[in-house]
Amino acid sequence: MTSGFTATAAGSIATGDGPQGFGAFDAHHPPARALLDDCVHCGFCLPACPTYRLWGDETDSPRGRLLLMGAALGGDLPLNAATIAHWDACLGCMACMPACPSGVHYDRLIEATRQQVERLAPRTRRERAGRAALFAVLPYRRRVRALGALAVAYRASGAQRLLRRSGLLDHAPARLRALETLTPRLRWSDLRARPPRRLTPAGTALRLRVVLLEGCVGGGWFAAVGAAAAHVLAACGCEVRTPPGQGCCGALELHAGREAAALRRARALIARVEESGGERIVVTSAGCGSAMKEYAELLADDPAWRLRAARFAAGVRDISEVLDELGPPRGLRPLPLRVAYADACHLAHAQRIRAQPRAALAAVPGLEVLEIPDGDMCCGSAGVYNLLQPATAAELGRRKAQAVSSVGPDCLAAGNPGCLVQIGAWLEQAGTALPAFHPVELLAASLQGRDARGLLLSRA
Amino acid sequence: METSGAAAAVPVEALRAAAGADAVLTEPAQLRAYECDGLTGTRVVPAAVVLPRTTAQVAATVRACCAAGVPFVARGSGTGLSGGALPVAQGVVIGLARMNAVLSVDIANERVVVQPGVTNLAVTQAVASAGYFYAPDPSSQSVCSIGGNVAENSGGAHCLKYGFTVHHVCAATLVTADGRIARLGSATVDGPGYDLLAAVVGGEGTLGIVTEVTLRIVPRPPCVLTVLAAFDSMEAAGSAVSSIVAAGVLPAAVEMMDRLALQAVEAAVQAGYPDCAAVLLVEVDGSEIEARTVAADIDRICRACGATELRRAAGESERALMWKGRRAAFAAMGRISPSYYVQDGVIPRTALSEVLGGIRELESEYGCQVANVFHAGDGNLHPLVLFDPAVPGEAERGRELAERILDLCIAAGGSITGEHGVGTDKACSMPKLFDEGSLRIMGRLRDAFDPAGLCNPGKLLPTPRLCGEVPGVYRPHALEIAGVAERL
Amino acid sequence: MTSVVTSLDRLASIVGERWLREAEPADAVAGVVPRLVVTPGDEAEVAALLRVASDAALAVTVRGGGTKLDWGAPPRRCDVVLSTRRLVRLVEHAAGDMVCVVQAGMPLETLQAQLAAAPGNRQRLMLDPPQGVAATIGGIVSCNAAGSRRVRYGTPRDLLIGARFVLGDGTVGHSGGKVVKNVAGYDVGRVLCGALGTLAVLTEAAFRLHPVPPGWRIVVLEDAPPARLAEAVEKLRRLGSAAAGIDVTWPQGLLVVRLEGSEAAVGAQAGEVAARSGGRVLDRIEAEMLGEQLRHRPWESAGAVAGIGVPRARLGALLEVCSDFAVDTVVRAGVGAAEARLPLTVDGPTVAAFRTAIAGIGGHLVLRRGGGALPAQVWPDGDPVAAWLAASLKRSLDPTGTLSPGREQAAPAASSA
Repeated sequence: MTSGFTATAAGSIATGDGPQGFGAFDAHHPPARALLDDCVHCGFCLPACPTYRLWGDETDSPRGRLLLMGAALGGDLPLNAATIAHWDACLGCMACMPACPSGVHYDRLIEATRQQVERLAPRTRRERAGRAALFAVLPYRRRVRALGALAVAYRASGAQRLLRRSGLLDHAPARLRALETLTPRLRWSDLRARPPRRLTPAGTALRLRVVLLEGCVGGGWFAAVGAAAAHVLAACGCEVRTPPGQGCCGALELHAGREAAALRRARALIARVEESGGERIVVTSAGCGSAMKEYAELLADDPAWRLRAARFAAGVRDISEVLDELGPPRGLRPLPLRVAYADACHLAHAQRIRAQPRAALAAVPGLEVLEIPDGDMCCGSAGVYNLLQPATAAELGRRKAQAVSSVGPDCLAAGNPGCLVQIGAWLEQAGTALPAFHPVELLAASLQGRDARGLLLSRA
Repeated sequence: METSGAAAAVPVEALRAAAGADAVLTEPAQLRAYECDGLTGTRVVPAAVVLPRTTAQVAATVRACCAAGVPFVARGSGTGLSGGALPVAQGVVIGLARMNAVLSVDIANERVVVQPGVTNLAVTQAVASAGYFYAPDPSSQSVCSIGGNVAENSGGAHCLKYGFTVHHVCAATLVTADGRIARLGSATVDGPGYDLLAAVVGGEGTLGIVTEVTLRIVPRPPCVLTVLAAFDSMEAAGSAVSSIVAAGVLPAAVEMMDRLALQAVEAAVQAGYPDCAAVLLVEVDGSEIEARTVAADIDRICRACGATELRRAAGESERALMWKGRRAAFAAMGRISPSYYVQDGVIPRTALSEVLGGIRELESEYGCQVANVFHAGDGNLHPLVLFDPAVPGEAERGRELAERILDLCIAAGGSITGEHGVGTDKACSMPKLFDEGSLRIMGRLRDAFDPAGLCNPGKLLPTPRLCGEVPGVYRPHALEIAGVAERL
Repeated sequence: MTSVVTSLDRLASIVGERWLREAEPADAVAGVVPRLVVTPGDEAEVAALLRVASDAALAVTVRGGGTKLDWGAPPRRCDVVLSTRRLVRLVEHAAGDMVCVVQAGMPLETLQAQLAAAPGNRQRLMLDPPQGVAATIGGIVSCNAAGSRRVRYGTPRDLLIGARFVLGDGTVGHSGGKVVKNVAGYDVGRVLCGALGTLAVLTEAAFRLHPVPPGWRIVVLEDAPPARLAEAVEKLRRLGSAAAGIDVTWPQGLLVVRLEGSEAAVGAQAGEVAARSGGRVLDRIEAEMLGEQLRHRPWESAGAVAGIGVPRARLGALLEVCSDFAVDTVVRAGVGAAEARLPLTVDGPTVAAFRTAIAGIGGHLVLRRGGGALPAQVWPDGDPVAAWLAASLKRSLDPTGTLSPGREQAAPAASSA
């Protein structure tokens, strides 16, 4: 569980000075004592936490992490590698929050803590370079697409098959192995797809004007999802605009504690989307939706932006929420498939969206939604977690893949690009590869009257 | 944080050899996380934490501690409410959370063998598809461990009909206080020999460490009916409970919550509880006819006692919601009060009204509010004393009020703990319940298991360190009060 | 035993001449004849007597109704029999709380009669051990003796909520209390269950009572072979505690299911049970007669009696073994407990073979009532560390070895397997 921080002498980077100050934290949004005091130490969060389930160590449980925050805040613990490792190990899956009877705002606390850590604790040169590389690519759609092209070439050329058979990977460093495992299973057509810039309802009255978020990893590799979303929304009576020049929503950076970058991206996106009008801002990525719904809190300090952020956030909806609001589109044709539906953590836990995606899938005639055993446990994607903590993510990915295949599905559905990549990768590793879809793609296929078998083959 | 005089050094290398290097925690950050269990008033950072995976590793760890003269404390999920898993200063915590496998399920013989880190709920989940369940169901069952249940002889709402942990443990592997491995009890009944399990279950982890347990499972009754009855006074609800008992009816569970508790629970889970002075949650189970007959009796009795509303859970999800609120009641208090003490006392059922009245008087005397959530069916009270730590003196008053409530329980012929255990929290109150001879006998029982006094010392039985020596202010030691010891 | 003689005066001064006498052959404990029989009138006298006894290094065995004196190995020594015959008070019956506190010398039958006579709703101590009407509370608890109703209500260990006791050195104490739910302190009382009076003398016991159900029915399956009986019992497994008794007797080949609850419920359930098991519902008169017949089985005739525990799913195999060894058995089929009366002519090697056969089906066997010629084998080789703990407990609670020394252990054997 190394985080790449240099070991520091205890207290050498503490900027507070005990109970009056903020202990090891600084004054800019430290984790709030009042929020920490909400925790009554009951432990109901433990069975919900993936790292506690894996390691059985109190230190890597929500309760333990909160305790460490309190200790650091009180000046009892320094922000050194040993302390920080446990916060880094947190997936940010938020499964602990629905389990907590006291309503502890773990999300706000871990976010505040991560920002403090990013600011105050120096990382090794290698770590800095690694993170810089990550955040130089992932928030940029075109660069993601370029990476995707590499991935397609790597697989299509047979290089992956060769490399995997050669056994060379076993000698590669863990992070490289992780990257290799996560190579997305894309086709050229995926990289060419684009969501339509504007779509008007066909054959139904106009009910809602929406703006569709393109997304970065989503927009770069899974633009087909955006296209499907646009068509389904139109079929429901929406006017759909996908404004060009959208930037990243900043979710990845926000969840990694890179506050300045997250703020920049939020402002830019709000400005871009505002221009397009629209009563709803529709997202097909759980992580993005979750982050965007919190723009008001993120920009609370900025008097110029907080009202705009609040208005923006109030209109954000996951695609399944809009479908729930409008009801399923007419003309859904039979698509007899056994679909294992995987709850994305940022849908189920962070946004409490569980019923809506299931209802949307269930509306497709002949489609059977299968529940995945232990479905609440994170698949290990967790933003960039699977790149920063590869071993843990691998274990979680393996478990999730096993659980998915145990129900004998024809395909996998999940409302988040990261989950689709992670679960897809580990299914393939286990030799039980499955076609993977965003739920809205299945609805679109149903509207188009596509043949189930053909659909599966197209994603094999 | 406690410090003491010369204490034995923790044998870190020996611990690593015993359980594996990755099982031994020594970083301050890691140790902090183990400084308390569900009782947060007192915290002690241990000198080391060991997380073994097998019985052999537990035994080797204990042997290493014994060889070095270092005390050790076993810990399950750390959800206990009496400080049973509170570390001993400069001692070792042995966490069993990694031993979390269900080892075998034998439906035909109604036995399940599990490791101690398995959660209570996981046992039921392992046998649910066969139509069975594991009956003792503490409210924390989604997280509390079987090992912890064994240590505290945990009950739960349904223990009224089904009994406690001691009624459901058939056999156990015990790592003794000196690190040997004993097999106690047997999967079959009437095993020969002393009933050592009867001491170990409820022994609060002071007689050794259980590393494997054989549990008895029970068939799920075909019909379960849950009744929610609203009353406009606690007295009315209490009299309903007495009348139910007097009528010769034995429900599976009878729970009560007062207005304050209801408010908190509604805020937490929105179970749709009525807004009233007291709610009774009664569950009956058995054959369809039996359940319906008894439920009808209960309806009749509740109405006769003035129930203003009667509801029957329409299906499993409604039943689950009714129970969800009750189970989350303690932690939900956090929504209506900055802080609170959970008290655990037992009284004879017939003394319910009297004691509840007494609690109300204490509320006015101390100026603190008390929310009441409890197992009315067996007189096990859980008064939750609310206080605001920011208000000077309120925490102290709350603490005193909680202790006075315990005195009420004793005066009514009850006990100082129904299910949370004595631990550190109530060790000093033991002399209120047990005379010197009884405490001596209990001490001798403990000595038989742990002559060296290293296995979770300072818990359950009063000791001078725990109960007396506060520098400065003179506080009579519990044994002094009992007239047994003298301060020279 | 000069110490007996020298202690006579001290003992007499505690209980009075009237309550101390010389022992007769009939007072033998598992073949060991004591010197004196002393009958204290209250707990204080019990404590005083034991103080004297331990000072004088006398060995004391407690006796209630004497129905289970054979349980356990014969004591290595027995100088004094301490009779609980005068400790017969019902100390408290809190009917509203369904709890009673009773002195250890009270016969169970007497207690039930007193409880039944109390006004208000009818409640009982749900124990029905078969050893005979003279059985006292103290003996029943010390032997953890149980009968048919254990399927629903458990054994004394499960029903005991508090106890008062005196150690061999005269230390008086108590554990538990008068409330059903109680985890304060070590449950010394529960440890005394089945300890055969070797750890402490029980003077008072507090029990949880239960309401007498309004309705009951008996369903029987008669003259069935082992496989059929086992099949019927397996079909009734899901009844769980809805049945108040599931007994099989052999060689009669009889399955008796007792249902208790509300009148309407048991009526319907009896029909269901009969259908599922292939048996028939008895009418009231038949049922009462059968109850009487089975009340003290298999203790009503002479012969050694073994206590057996087997996995409940091995009922068929158990009955086959019983058949092979021609034993008269009552099986509490719901939990896998049985008592088997061996033929009068049985010898040591046959008993050993019987025990091996039981072990072969995953069970264990303990002699409860011996015949003089049979070797004492009480607590067969078990886990050595557990045995060490047991010995440690005995030493701690009875360091002077005053209470039935040797009763709790098999003779020191070669190391176990």
